[in-house]
Amino acid sequence: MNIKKNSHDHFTRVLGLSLLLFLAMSPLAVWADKTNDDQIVPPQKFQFELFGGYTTLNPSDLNLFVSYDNTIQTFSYDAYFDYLRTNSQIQSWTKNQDSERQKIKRAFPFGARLKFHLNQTIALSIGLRYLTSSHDSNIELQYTRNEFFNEQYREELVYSPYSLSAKAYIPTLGIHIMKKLKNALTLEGFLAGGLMFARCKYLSDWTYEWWIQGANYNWLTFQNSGTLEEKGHGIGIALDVGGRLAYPLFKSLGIFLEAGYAYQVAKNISGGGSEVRDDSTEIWDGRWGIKREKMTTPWGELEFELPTNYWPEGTDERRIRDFELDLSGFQLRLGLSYRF
Amino acid sequence: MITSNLYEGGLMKRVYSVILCLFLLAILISSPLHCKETEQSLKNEAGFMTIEPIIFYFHYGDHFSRLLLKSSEARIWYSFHAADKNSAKNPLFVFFNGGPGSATCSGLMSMYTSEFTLDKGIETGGGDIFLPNPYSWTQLGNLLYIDAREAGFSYNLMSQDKSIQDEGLRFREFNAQNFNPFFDAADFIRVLLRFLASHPELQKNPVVIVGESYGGVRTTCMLHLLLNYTEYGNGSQMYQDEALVDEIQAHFDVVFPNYQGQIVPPQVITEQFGHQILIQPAISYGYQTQITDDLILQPGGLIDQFEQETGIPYDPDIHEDPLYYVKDVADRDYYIYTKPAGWLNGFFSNAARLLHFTQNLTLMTGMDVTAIPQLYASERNQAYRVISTNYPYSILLAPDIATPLIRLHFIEPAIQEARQANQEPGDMDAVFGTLQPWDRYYISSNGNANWAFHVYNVAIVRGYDVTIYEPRLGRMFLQNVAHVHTFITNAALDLVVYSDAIPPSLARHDDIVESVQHIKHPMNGEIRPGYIILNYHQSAFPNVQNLASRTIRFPLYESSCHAVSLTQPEELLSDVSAWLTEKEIDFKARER
Repeated sequence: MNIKKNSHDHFTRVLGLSLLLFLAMSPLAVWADKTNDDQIVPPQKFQFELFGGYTTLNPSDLNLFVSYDNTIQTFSYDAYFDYLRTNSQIQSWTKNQDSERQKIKRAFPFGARLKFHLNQTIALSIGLRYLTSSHDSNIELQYTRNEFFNEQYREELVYSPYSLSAKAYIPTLGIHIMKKLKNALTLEGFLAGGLMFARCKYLSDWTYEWWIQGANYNWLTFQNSGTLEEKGHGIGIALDVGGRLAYPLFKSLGIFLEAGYAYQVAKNISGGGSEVRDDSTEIWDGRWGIKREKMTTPWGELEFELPTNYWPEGTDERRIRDFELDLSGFQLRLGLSYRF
Repeated sequence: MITSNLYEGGLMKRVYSVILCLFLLAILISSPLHCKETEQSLKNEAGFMTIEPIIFYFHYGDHFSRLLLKSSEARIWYSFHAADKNSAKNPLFVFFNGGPGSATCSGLMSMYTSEFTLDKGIETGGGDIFLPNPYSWTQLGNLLYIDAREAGFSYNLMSQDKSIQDEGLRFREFNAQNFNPFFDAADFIRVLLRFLASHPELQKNPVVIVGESYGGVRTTCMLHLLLNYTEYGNGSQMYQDEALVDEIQAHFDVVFPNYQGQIVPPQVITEQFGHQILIQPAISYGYQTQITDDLILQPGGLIDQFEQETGIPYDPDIHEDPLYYVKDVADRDYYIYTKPAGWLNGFFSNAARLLHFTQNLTLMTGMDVTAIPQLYASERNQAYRVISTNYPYSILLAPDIATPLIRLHFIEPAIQEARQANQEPGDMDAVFGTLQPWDRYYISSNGNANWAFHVYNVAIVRGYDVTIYEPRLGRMFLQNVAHVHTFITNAALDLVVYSDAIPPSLARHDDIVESVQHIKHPMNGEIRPGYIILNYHQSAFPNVQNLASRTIRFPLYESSCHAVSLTQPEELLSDVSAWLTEKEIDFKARER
């Protein structure tokens, strides 16, 4: 209950802030309008824009999957084999890993915007941005334990794919304040706010094989496979603040380059999940959160946090907070505008 | 008229006859003799209990990195022997041998516990025929013998979508999904509960678990699963088996109706599962073996004696495990060091050979085994018992591949089985049909299964402490003993489970027990003295009330081998009977 309340408070706070910023833009717009008195007012009131670009991203809770999986792997294999070697249960061990699990760090947003120019310095807009980022990794891992008596245990893990993805549709309303510069350039500041309809997904499709290899034998001793998938969707707040330079190519057509920071966070994420292991399947549905877990093994203890929507009965006490899908980042966008 | 008179006369005779018959029947039904028959309504039976494929997993706390496994379908052999008297009102003794992978039929069932037994005088030409047993435990109650998965008559079935001819697939069947101490114990619980459910007369009766050797581990796991059953479905324990938890709850709903749908506490569960009898058990076997080595290698110990006898000093570089020295140099049986090497295995082999004959199996089980459909070859198309008759996958014959201890206990029996495998004696082929090359009617000790427990086991490779050497099992045993009355044999001549090592091995769990005393003198005037007193830390198991100490009966059998029921059957029966009476199990016409 507390978590829900906090999330609601946050939403209200961000929405309030956006409205305040929006209202604060109005005097600025009047000022900008006066400074542009000497300029010619174009007759067209509407402007349609298409844009695309690059954004930095750090959805830290979503990326926590990578940290979690790396931590579990290191503890379950590297640390375990170190323990076996220290206790003289194996002679040595080696590891080969051809690539790493990839976190989400960037995206290529694109969108469209329809502007209505109230005058030559102020415009209002309605826009839609789409943002998607998917990082698929294909990882092959091989751990080799050199047992005594000239025998090797080889454990092979393949993750194909190991994937994190996020996408969002962001409809916004915006206000734009423009000032003509020399050389036909226009400098513009903008503030847009709206909702973010976001989705995210974790997918790990893996196989495991255990081989025993000796002088003249190499046996596949055990194999299994599985697919773990967790999906989430939710609605959050989006605020887009920035500035841009526009340049007219023709009478109605222009290009622009804009840069800014987009705050895009959804906190109330929920969705389905499934785990398929050989011929057993488990399906669930739940609200995403960050779970604290502890592994207690003969070779040590490990405490860690993982994002998940899997909350079977009796595990709520391990929820430390809600999951946050944070798709905020600095954005650089290039676009075309058509005024009509 | 004549016809009519004749007809009337005949009719009257028939009516009189019917009345007379009904009268006699009424007398018969109401007679004390028939009352006894009714009380003895349970009959011997034998057959297979099918265990469907089970999904279970091991975990150390993280759900998604758990090791999830699915077992193969199994047909588990059982042989039920009704008590001599009032079978429906007597307790049920559940017997099993160890190994793991060893059969109960050629073990405890053939060695002075059921109505027939091998003659123990193997040196004088005995041990080669089944004879009536004057020390049958049917005097105490009902007996249920169970052969573990792939041991004895029990066999697995590969799923229909897999090719049974594929040797690689058969090799991969012998792994943790079918063989590990927890799932093995769950198998036995499933068979037991299903047997009880199909015999309502017995369903609420006390159950006494009797395990020999590795059967100590199995008993420990069974009781821990039963007493703490919810923990095996809610993520608390390393082994998780939700289907088993549901089955146990359903059983408890019947036996303890006051707790219908609720968690039944251990002190209530022990009303039914409150007694364990362990014959030369592996309990905390890692510590037991360490202490055994220390004791027999100490100056003046057994190895010293053998060195003096043979004149050959013990060299650990040659015999890493001193039991090898006992066998190879001193030519003694490590199961009974006063006898020549191989003495006890001779009994197991003889029993196994005899059980390959239909008439012997019928004699031993007390039912016509030709009426058991699952014995017939036509019912076993997907059955497998071994990887291969030629053992191409096996490293059993590779000389330097395993530790001497593993070779001693596991490899050599497996080699022996492999040699015998192609030459199954008896008439079963003729009676039930010829089996496929990887199938067997009977395996006394299944080396493939044994290796699946110890070596080819992905749970072990992935770090789960499921070998018989793990301290986890000793801790579980000590937790069980806090609730369950316990009887352990102390066979003086057994080196494989060296009894003197048992009390100090339990003392190694010093986070649970403050001290462990081995009392060797009589405490209650008993003929064969012996007790282990466990003094627990008060905080060891917070949920157990009055945990100060527990006493284990630990009688000494001075001339006994590993199989105590074989060497001192009369004494064992007598001690068990007295102990159970003392522990308030009344064998005569119990009214529940």
